[in-house]
Amino acid sequence: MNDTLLNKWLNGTLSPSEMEAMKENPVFMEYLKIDSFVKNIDVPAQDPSEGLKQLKEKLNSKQKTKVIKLGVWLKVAAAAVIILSVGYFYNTSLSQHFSTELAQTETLQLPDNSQVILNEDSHLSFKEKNWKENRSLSLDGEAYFVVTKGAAFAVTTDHGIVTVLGTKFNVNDRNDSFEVVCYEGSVGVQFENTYLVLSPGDKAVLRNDQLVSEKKHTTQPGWIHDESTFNNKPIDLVLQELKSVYAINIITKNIGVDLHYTGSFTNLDLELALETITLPLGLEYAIENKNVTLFAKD
Amino acid sequence: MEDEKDICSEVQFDKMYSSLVVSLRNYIFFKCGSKDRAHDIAQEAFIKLWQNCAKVTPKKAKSYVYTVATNLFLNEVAHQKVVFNYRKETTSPVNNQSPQYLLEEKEYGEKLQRALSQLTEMQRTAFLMSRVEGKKYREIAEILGISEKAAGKRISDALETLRLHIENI
Repeated sequence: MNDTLLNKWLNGTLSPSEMEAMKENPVFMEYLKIDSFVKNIDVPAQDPSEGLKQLKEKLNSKQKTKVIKLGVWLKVAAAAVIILSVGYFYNTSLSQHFSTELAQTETLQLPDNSQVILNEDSHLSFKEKNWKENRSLSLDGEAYFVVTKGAAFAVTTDHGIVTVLGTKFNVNDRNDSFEVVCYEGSVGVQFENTYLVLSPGDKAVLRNDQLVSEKKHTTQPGWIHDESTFNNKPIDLVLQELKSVYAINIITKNIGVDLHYTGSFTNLDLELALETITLPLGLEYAIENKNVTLFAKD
Repeated sequence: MEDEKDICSEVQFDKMYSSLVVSLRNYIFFKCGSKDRAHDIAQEAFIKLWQNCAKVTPKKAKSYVYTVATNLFLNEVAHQKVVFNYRKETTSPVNNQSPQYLLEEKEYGEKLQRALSQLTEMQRTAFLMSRVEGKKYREIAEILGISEKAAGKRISDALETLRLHIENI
């Protein structure tokens, strides 16, 4: 092998005619093959901007704090400021709690103008401190969220964690049921080792301890408009909801447990609600004070 | 004299960073085969440059960060075996190759991987700077602090070593 030509090639100064001459040599052909493979090695990111950003953050956090000597009055003032701000931070670092009773809903505004509508018999808590950086809250019950864009927004429940960036979604985590419906944007749902990403119109629901994804065709949950909506749900779940909406007792007689109900009932008028449930299922009802009895038609 | 202020100005430093960091990262990557470590070491080298901006002239900045990075790399213990992966795209522009051919290519890639890991670190670094980044002998010699002739020798020796390794595996 001609060393001068080889070095020219390696140094990128070989002319096309010299290249043709080199290709006569089988060893050079092997070199070319090695070269073509090596050029395909997966190298680190070629964009410097991300690294520069990280570097700036690191440098800023490293900047030294200076010691300043203070006069007596300044010390007093500083102490006062410290006491006040400790009080302030103590206050804001405490969790905020919101609860709703049976048959009551509440609309809440979060520090970043995100909106939460808390359905009845539900509990929500979050920390106001650092809300912009750390938007996380815990929920027991059911709530509808309209989240403004920003840092990740996480809802923690007994069953799983729901994370989003900016969107509208509903979380229902009552007793054994866990259901998340995405109305806008996209929503991530974590349950044990399963992680589902929902698009608008999708819902994640817990069935036999498995998180599965299904379609849902509404643009807002029904309960926001004082309606409870069900899609092929077992009758006892429907009655449970009815019970909590109207704060009543329900007694059932001769009703098959395998009955399923699809539809909505109003949360404003008990008799109308009972009609809408019983009529399609072929049932009858009787109201006595706070006791409602449901029974099969003869 | 004006030069000396230059790196301490943020604009100048940012420019310096953007023009040098990719190569510096690759340089450490060719030595150790780990993207993460290459990234960390490159960042650390620039932090040192920033802290010493008053002492380092812009002309010296390049050799300064390379020297610092090399030292940081040498200070780390337990160098692991170096394995380079290939990018996902196929090497050939034609997609409808026979399975036989694709398998041979894959095996060849693995052989080359092993051969690369057996090069000395000095050979490998010079060789990959030349082949992957397309750097000229002059620049490689400058970074490594050796003569152009020595750089060329390292690179062509590395190439021949690789060829023999692949033949013998």
